[in-house]
Amino acid sequence: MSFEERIKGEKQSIGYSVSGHGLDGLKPFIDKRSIGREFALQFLKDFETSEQNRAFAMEETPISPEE
Amino acid sequence: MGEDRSVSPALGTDGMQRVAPINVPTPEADIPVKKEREKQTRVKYLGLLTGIRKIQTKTGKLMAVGQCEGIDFKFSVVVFPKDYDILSPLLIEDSVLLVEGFLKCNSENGEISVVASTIKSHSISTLRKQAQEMDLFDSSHRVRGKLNRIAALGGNEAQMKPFLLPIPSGASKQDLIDLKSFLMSKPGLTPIHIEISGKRIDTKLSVSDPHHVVEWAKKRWTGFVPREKEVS
Repeated sequence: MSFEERIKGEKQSIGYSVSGHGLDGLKPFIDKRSIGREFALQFLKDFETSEQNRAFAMEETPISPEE
Repeated sequence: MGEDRSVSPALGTDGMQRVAPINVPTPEADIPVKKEREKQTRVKYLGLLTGIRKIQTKTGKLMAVGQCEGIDFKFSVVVFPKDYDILSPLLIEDSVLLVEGFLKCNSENGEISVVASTIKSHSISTLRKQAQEMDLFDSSHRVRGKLNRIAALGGNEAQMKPFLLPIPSGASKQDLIDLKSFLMSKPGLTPIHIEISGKRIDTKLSVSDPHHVVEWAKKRWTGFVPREKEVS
């Protein structure tokens, strides 16, 4: 049974694959064939930072008697 | 003798020279500059197609949105009606797509989409074979899904349950700034939510052990008592 058959079989029977992910082993190939992944990664990094900042944003936390 | 109908931009149709008044704004200058068009970034991403949604537009045409998992992020593949007939047959679930198109990032929800102009679809086996032939296959590489990310950090799934920290009403802004720094210094698997004035907020930060957060809170706020259900 091939890797593909195994993970597809697992997904069909239990809803997700436990043996691995379809892209396992393909990082060097994907690195070579992709263009512009850095834009998406930078966007996600910025988004996460802004979400963290939003969670702690002072205007959303009317708790300070000092202000 | 033919009539010359060409008109110089500096001359009117009556042949009079047009001179723009000095220091008087032209009507064009008064019109606000139109918002610069969103910069279109062309990308090429590879991802495993995990789901497909077909949508009927208001005009009755079909378009499709596929959900792809890449090695380090997820993205949507958008196929607009004009390309639907050509590209939608390539959206085969559990196949690996090589999608080329324009990148769209939604800063409201953090979603990444590629508006597809070309799609190539490969089976997992074909792509693995191709990568091996090109000497671009790394058998030690694993995609970090939720389960193996937990395993890699030496944790278990129970640790993924968010921990709720109530913020006392007397807390200051500086307390929250310090709390954020503290949470960032203890990265881990347990997401921390805070409750302020009855409102629950996801801090988007995760810590290795919520007990550390409770200890920090006890030191910071005299009389701080966590709710029993918050710490397992």
